[in-house]
Amino acid sequence: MKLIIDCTPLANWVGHPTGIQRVVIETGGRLCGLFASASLGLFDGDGRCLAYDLTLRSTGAVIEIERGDVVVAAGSNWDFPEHHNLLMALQARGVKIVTLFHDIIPMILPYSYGPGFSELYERWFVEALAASDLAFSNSENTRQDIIGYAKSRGLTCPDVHFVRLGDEVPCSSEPPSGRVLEKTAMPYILSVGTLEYRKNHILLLNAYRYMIDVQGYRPPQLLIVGKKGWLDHDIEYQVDNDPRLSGLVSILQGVTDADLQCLYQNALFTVYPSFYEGWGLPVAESLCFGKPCIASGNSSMLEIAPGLVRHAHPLRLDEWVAAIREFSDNPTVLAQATESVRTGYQRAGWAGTANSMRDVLLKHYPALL
Amino acid sequence: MKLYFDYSTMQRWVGNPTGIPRTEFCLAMVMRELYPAIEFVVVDDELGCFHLLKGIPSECVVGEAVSFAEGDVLFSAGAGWAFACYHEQVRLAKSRGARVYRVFYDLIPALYPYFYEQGTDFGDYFGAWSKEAFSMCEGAFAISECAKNDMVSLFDLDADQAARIRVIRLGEDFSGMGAEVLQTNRFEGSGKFLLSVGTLEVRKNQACLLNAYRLLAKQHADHLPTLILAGRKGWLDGEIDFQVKNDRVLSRFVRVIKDASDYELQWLYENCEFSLFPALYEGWGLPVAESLKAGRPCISSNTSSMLEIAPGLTVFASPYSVEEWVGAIGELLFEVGKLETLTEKVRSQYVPTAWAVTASAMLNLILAPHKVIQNQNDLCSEDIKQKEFW
Repeated sequence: MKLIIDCTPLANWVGHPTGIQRVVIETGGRLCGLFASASLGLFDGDGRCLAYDLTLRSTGAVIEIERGDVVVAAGSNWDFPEHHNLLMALQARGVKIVTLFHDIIPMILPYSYGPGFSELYERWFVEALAASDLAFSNSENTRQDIIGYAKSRGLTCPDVHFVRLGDEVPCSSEPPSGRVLEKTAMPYILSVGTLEYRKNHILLLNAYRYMIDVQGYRPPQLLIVGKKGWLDHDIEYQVDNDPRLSGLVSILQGVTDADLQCLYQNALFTVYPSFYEGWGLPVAESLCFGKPCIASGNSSMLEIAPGLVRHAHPLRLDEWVAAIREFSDNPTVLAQATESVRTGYQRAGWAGTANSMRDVLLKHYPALL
Repeated sequence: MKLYFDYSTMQRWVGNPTGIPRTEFCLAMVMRELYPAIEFVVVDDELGCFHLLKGIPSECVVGEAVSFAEGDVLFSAGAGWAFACYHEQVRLAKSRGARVYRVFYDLIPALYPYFYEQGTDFGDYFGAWSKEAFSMCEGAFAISECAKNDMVSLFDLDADQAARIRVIRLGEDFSGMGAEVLQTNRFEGSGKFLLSVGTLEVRKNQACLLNAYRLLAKQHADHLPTLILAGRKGWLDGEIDFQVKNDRVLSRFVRVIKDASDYELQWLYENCEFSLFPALYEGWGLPVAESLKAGRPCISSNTSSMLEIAPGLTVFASPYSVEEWVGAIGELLFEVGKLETLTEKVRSQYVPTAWAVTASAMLNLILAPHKVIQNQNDLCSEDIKQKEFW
């Protein structure tokens, strides 16, 4: 019985890996160290599985996958039907498929994705779940969502285990760009995340308008970092054409790792009013940099660091205004919160992720040892 | 002395008038009754200067160019900023001795450029255009105290200049141009519903109502009436339609109607439980008045002119605060007797304004030196209020 870590998402890997690629690299490399029978494999266009070298980023000899072998897949194949079909075919031949699922938000908030995506995602998910012999989730909340979804549709659900992914933080020895240095010269609140409906930036703009118009209060500047996504209420246009936000709110796109690092390091605190998350990376990132975060009080965002994250309801503007003002108006409160984060937040490492996965895999497949 | 009424905006309008064209139309009809010597004129960039217009509203014929003379009056309630030649022609009329009066609706494009597709470009143009228009006015009419205050601060007016602005209240007794033959209603028998009327756009802020319904549905899923949003699609509406169709909660409770007829709108106003108007900013806020006139309470934003329409009869909430809307809607829906009491109060206390009253107040000011209309009270008599102008 062999263990194969599916590295196909790395096929087009250029530059600094983020997201799923990062997960594959960090867990794949370590799992290989933990199991003698494990190898990294990359499926080519002809459906062959080739041994993959992480350091050289190159493929080698063909790995013959046999009935009873275990393939761990990163669960990002909704956009890659060919690769998905390949895994389905392996499963049909008696190969065990283990899938890491990141979220089922397209089924929970279908309108937060562009037309057609939710249906596409759901079709993939239903097939991938049915084909999985075992599943991992990146949060307890996603685990519950998967089990709940399967139950509500009468689907068979494999065992689902939560594994905490390692914290990733942008890190660079390059200098930040001039525009970022300029923006970070004045105190600011930071919000990192794609400009899209789900990340709910409109709430921040409206909270700022409310503080200015209704409360006659001028909050610190707000720096929003994110590329444009689906249904973002034209945040950029609103900022550009609203005199009360001009100079106070800025949207930064195409930032480098050095920029992002600088932005986190110098922020007063961060805000993340997302409607729903599978995990909530910017929350953990903020804590890694020792910055308090105000995040929505739902889904996985409640799990990241209970007690260290301040929560507000993504539809309730008053809660955000109160939380933002509490930190902005009270340097002592902010300093205490910052201190709690610095001393209290345990950064999650990838070794822990790999160890958790090993334990679960061994329990299910003792023959892997 | 001749009174020239600028009918340019309505002249170009096709279909049943709404907004500014409707006001221009209503004032034209009523002023013609009150002051039969009135002459209608039209200008656009093709005509190049003001021309006489006969046969309004249905058989318009453009006549010869107007030659303004000392003491004439040029009155406009239209959207003159649409014409490049406008200010120049008004200046010309003034140079020949004409006095100019204009209705100012709002300065929202200058105050909130992001409410409009052309953003700050249009906002800056509109602000400058309005300021220049005001500088040429003998007298100005603002449709609310809020609109007047915005003029004073944006035009940077001193007390004397501010005194040239008179606040008037728009009439509410418009019942269509009578062209609708088929008065069918697709909504009869739809069950209990709440109503919000207004273009689907960022300024009207329907997104706030969707979010309020998301919260309300969690608490009251079995007792929540339908929310009807009536309005055509406008600028930056947060894809209201898409959200409603693809949100499993909202698709049960919200209905978007983009093509309601005036007849249907009237029925919707009269048969809703109450209405909602969460606009971020208004020059006036007609849907608030329309709701009250139909005998239905309204929850409106607590900003701008909306505070002036009927402060004792309207329920207010901040347009930015979803929870205030959840609270106000919940109170009217679920607190026993609240809605009945408020509805009764609206029915017994709200007095709609008649266009005859609006128009006579304006004519009295415009024609003041000539005292053509001696006693405003005569004009406000029940006879005229009741008169069928349409």
